Amino acid sequence: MSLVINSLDVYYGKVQILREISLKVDHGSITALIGPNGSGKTTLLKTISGILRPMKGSIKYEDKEIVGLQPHEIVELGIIHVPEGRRLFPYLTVYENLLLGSYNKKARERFKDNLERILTIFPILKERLHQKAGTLSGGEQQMLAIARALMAEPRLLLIDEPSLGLAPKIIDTVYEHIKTLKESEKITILLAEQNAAKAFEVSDYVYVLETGRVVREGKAVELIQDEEIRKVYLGI
Amino acid sequence: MFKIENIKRDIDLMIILLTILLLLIMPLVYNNYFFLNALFLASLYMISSTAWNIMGGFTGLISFGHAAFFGIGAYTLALSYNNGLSPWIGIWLGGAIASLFALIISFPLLRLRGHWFALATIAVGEALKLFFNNWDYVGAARGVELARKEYSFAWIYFIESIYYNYVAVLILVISIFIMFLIIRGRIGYYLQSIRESEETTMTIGLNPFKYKMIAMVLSGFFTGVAGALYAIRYRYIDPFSVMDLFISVQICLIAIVGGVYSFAGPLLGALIVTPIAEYTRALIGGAYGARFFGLHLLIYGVILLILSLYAPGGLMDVLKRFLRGRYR
Repeated sequence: MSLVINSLDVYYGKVQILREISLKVDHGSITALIGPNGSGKTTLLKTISGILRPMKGSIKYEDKEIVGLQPHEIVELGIIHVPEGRRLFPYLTVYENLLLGSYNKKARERFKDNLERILTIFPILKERLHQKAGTLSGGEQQMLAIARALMAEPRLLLIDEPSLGLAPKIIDTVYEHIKTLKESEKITILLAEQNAAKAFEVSDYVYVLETGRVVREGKAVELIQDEEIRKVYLGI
Repeated sequence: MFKIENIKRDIDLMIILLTILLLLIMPLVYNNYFFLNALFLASLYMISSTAWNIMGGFTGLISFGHAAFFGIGAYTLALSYNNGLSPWIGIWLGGAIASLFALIISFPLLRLRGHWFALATIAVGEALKLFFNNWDYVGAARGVELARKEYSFAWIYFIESIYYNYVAVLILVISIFIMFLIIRGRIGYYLQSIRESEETTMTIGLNPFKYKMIAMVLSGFFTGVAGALYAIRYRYIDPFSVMDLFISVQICLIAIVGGVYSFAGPLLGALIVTPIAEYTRALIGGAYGARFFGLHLLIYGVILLILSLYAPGGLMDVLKRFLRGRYR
């Protein structure tokens, strides 16, 4: 198991956001968190990457407890978070964004090799290398956000809403890339997604969140057969 | 970085070089005591406002308490000078002590965000001023006068004030050069990334606290150096002349007027604001007992108002737009 979360409770002030969340992410798999707005997907990812602190519960990454570590220590373990809404540094160029991605020491030493490899995965970024990140299209920005995360040499990638605000065709391209990461780069991926159809299509295992609880879980191929899931999340 | 074609394309570097050239030539062209003094003050503010800009512009930490660093630099130089230390070491020692102070206050201050950080810096600056005002070892409200030494380059003690200008230019060149290399290097990117989104910098594994601290220490260091230069030139300091809130305001105002998002903005700001400030102060009022005391502050206000309406990005922004219009 790459990531094991056990009965996690997270609060914003006095408001409880996550209740008794337990989940597992397998090595080399794509695991999806689906659920409506405010169900706690983003909160869960932020808690894993150390930006938020849980009130109780444990998060084990490769058998090591990571609750209580600082975000930058968690990054050094190889868990990289691609935040929601892309969150690039808009006034820096694409190149500079990628440079910032390779912040940690190990990744910094291999910056040149990594850059070359990642630009072959995302050729569009190569054309835009010296453009300000804020001038890219939505899809390009999402790819840059993922590429920036890859520069840090992740072993577990947390991707928050990669489809947010993108046209259907662009969403397909972004997910093509995400699948490539799993297959050729051997990166384990946990993604939060409102677009349930897309999430079921690419992922191996799916957790359904509602108001901070895991209400259903299962292999994507099995869960998609479920009547209720089809009705509520896929509209069929 | 330093090839001719690159310099031509790099507006910041161009302005740095032109400013230094101007500071070198102008004292020879127009050797007037009052003008030399204005130029000297301009060089001081160039160092301290550029240092302020490392925090305020690049990292997004707005400080209204830089007079604290400035004053510590000035006091360090004055006391070490009187105890027989060479001012050539004392200037950098002033920076070092100021940066040590920055390091210490960064722990409580960096727990605060946005407006609260800015307010707290005012408190630190004012508290330190009052503390020095009552601290007997540093002369309390009487201040410190620099001991008389023989007139010499070694003691930075001259009859002709023009020499002070060249000492200031020398220190300016070293300080600006170091800050330029830092801001254009890795650390500069890290600081800007914190300004743009602190949460995102966490997701790439950077510890924002550490780099905000580095920004404060660097900023404190060079502001302290500027303070030390003040002390060596005017040879008398007291808490109200080197630690007053007005100095903090002046330092950040120059940076903002010049343009905070570019490295050379504060240089441009100091070059234009300081002479205006000095001449209005002397000619229309401000000097104690003058007829229109405070009028120069009014003029300041008007300049600030005009700039915020027509050039919110500062003079640097105006210049960039002008150049783009002409050459493209």
